[in-house]
Amino acid sequence: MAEPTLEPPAEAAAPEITSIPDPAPVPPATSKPATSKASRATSRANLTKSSSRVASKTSLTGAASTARLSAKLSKSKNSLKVAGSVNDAEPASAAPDSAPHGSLQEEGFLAVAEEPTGPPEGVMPLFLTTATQDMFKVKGGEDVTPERPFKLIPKADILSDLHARAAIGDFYPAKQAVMDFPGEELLVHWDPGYRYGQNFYLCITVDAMELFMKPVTAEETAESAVADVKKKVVSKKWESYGSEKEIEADWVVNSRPLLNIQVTRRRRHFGAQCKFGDRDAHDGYSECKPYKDPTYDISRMELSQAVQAVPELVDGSVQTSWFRPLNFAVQYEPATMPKNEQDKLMSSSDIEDFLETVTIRFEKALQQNSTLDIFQDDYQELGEADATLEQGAQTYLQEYQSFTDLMHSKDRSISCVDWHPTIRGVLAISCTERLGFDERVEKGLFLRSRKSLILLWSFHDPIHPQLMLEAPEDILCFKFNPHDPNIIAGGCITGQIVLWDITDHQDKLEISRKSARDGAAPVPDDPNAVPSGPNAPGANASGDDDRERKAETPVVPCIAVSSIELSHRGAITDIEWLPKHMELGHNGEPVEKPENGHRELVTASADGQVAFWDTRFKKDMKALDLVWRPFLRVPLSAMDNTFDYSLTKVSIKRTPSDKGATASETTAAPDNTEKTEQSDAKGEFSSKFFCATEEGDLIYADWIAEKASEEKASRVEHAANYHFGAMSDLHRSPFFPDILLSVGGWSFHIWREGVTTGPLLSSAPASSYVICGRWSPTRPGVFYISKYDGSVEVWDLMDRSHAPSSVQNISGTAISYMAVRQYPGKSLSRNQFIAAGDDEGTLHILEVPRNLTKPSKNEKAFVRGFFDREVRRLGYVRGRKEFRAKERTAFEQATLEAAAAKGLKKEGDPAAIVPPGSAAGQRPLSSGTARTAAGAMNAGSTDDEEKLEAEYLKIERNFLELEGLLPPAAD
Amino acid sequence: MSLPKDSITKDYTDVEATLSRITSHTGVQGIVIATHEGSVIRSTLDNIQTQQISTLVTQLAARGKSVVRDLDPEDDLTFLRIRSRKNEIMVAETKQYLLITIQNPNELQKGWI
Repeated sequence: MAEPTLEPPAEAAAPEITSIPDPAPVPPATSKPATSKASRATSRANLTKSSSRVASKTSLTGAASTARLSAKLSKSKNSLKVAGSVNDAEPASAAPDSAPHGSLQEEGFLAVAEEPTGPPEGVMPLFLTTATQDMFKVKGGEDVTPERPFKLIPKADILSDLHARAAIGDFYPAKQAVMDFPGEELLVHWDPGYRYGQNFYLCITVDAMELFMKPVTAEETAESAVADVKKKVVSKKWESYGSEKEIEADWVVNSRPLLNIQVTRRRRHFGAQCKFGDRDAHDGYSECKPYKDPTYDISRMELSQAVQAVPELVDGSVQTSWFRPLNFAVQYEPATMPKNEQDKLMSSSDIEDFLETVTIRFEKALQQNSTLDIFQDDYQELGEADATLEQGAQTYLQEYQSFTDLMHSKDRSISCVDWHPTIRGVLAISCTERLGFDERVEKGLFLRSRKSLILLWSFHDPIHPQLMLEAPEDILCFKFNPHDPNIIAGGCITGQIVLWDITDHQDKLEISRKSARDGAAPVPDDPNAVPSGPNAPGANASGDDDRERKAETPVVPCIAVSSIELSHRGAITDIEWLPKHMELGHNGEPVEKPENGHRELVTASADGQVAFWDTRFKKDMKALDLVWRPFLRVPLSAMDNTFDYSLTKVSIKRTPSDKGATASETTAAPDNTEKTEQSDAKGEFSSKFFCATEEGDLIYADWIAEKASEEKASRVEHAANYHFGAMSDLHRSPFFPDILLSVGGWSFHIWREGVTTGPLLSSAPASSYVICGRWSPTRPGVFYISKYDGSVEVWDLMDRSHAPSSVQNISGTAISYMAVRQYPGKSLSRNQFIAAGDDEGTLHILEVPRNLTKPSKNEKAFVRGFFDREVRRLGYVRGRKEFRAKERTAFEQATLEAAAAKGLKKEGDPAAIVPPGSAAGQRPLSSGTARTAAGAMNAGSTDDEEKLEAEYLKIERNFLELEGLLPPAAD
Repeated sequence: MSLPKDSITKDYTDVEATLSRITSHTGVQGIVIATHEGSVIRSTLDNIQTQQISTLVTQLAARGKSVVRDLDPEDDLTFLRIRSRKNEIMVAETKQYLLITIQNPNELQKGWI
């Protein structure tokens, strides 16, 4: 719409208004039935009706324009008509975008014309009584209607009425005006709204009369009038008012002569080889999209613009079409050759010659390939060897940090440590009172003076725990749920299990992780974080400061505690989440459920039961409180049912596939061979498990009872008593799911599932109790052993198997629990830490040196070979033992027979003859008894006795020599 | 190769015998004989692999040939070896034909240790 803007210069106002009608408002006006008188009346009515609203709008326009326009009131009927039509359209607001000034001015024009405060010029308000109305046939509502509110009354009639009624006539106030009126008829307008103060008004000038009369008659031809007006628009001759100077100021002109730049390129650079490379289509591509910047968003309050002539304008735009960048690939069409052509070529001599020449080259290359790897990177091999040399400098566990809390953990024994599964540098410890059973009974309730808490520590704050989880009783063991680390399950000394949810406090742990990340090292360069003595960080903190901060440490209450009646009857000694894809059915058979993650728990207790718990026992975890009970209990009693075991640890076989997932989390670079082995070994979930007991027995049992009828049948399949003292730890190798490390008493043993003859490896008895044993998560041949004297032993089977590779003293008291955590990442951030908690409540974080974390090349295969060899050795020893026992019985029998024969010869006593069968029947006859028997038999003759004795000793020595029990030098 | 030339010509008169001899080396996955345009004359690989190898390797060999020739116009490419993580691709060519051999060097590595 080419809407000309309508702010004319003041002097040109009148022509502008008349000559430039608003095209937008016209159509509504014309859309009304143009010919009917009613429509005219309507427009009038609208005109008058809207005037009050218009009046309010008038205040918006400047006072100046109002004044100016009021002067134009009676200027011309044409202008009023145009204004009328504009106003008519106004209620519809059909064209809000039409130049605002123009329309407002026109409204103002009208508003002034019918200002209700006083009648306009040429109009005189009159009150006509009903009698007068009847007389002149202008009765309100009958002769004059809102549609046609005026009537022409002959001047003569009024004059005669004035004459007849004189002063009491209604027209009397207008007597002079009527008499002065030049026309023959006067216009009387009904004014039911009393806008000018009376019910009628009288037009006393011809102009005013025509104002009301003519618009109506003229409106019939409104359209043609408008068209006429339009036609008249001609651009005037341009006159300069100085605006061209402003335009010229905006011109861009050369201020200096144009520069002439010559760009040259060497000939050899033309047609040079292009280097093409692969890259993604979005690389180096930037797109500038339009956007609205609120900073620069200025709303337009007023715009004044002046145009003298409107040239024809054309808006045009050119936009290059936009292409989204795409990756392209080269396609090719394979060339084909007909079969007969191929055959022809194959039989041609060309091919033969070709092959003749070419084969030699291939032979060379292939033979070279089978001799050595010509592409081997020797430097890489060199680098690896170098690195090990360099790192050989530091082979000891380095104390990285230590945590102790004066109030909650000092002088208490750390019963369990677990690393947060996802957040780096966060770990939790549980503490228990160092009391024996009797002391506990004695102290009773007094014991509860100190709260039982699980403390969550973060590497970034060595003084204050991040969180404290409140427990109803001392917690002996707990575990983070690997699937949802915000869920923690713990086992109480009362036999109940407890659940915590730390979702609300997760941000607190996250913050610590963030700050830990900031530094290049995994821990900020906080002076406090410098490794210090066991008690240093806690002791350094002043008491006040400590207490102040303690208030900030949130204490999280547990969300659920299991039912005390239906839980274990002894302390829970071990708790574990079932593997991710594993679930137990109603009968206890393991089911693979790929969609579920760590919903079930297994616990071992001192009451000799292994129990399985489901966190979905109730819909909501909170609903588990006090009603939770295990869905499966497995009581373990001795094989002869004489006593119940007291369990200390439980170890369920995790499927190799599941293990593979966790192994890839912990080990940074599992090589290909490992993966294939794991996938090969993938099998069914096993319901067999190992248990460590206080009696020192390692139990291998099956939680599925074979026969439901035999209730008292023991589920124990095998029990091996190799520990002289209570077993304190049992840990499965993360690399070999069938290899276990058992720790207890003064020794530790390595077992293989399925090998019942004995441990693969037994340690020599140590000088003090061995408490905890943990496999390295990254090296198959390395494990750590903690001892009662506060030392940690590092065993490296790649190095030696009869003694620890290194022993280090960490603490003054026993190391009660260890947990190893490998953090994945690149060189610097890839650390392995051992968290070792001691009996005084201090948690030591030990950094494991690189050579103990990085597996050597074929370590897994080597260690596997080691274990296999040990299994073979066990089998061989057993076979030899059987063989020796057989040999011995045979020998003893022979001796007896010989002795009997001699005695018979000497004494000729038939009663002394021992039948051969009876000796065979006494198979496990010891050599001692054999000797006494022989001695008793030959009591009569000392001569024979000596002879026999010498003979026996000789045989015995031979036997011992063969068994390898006698040093050869003793001969 | 230190074999006398005579014995080679005598032994290798049969094309198939030659090919089977090359194939008999450890780790050899397959052989393709092709023209310089990429048309396959003989292949011991399956269809898809044959097409890929004949087209792509031929183009590469042509590229290599032009490199050698650009460096020294009197020189010519005789043998091209590409070692990848999984395979080694060997190409020998004459004026008319190309012989492409794919070998898996990982199978050989067992022998080295």
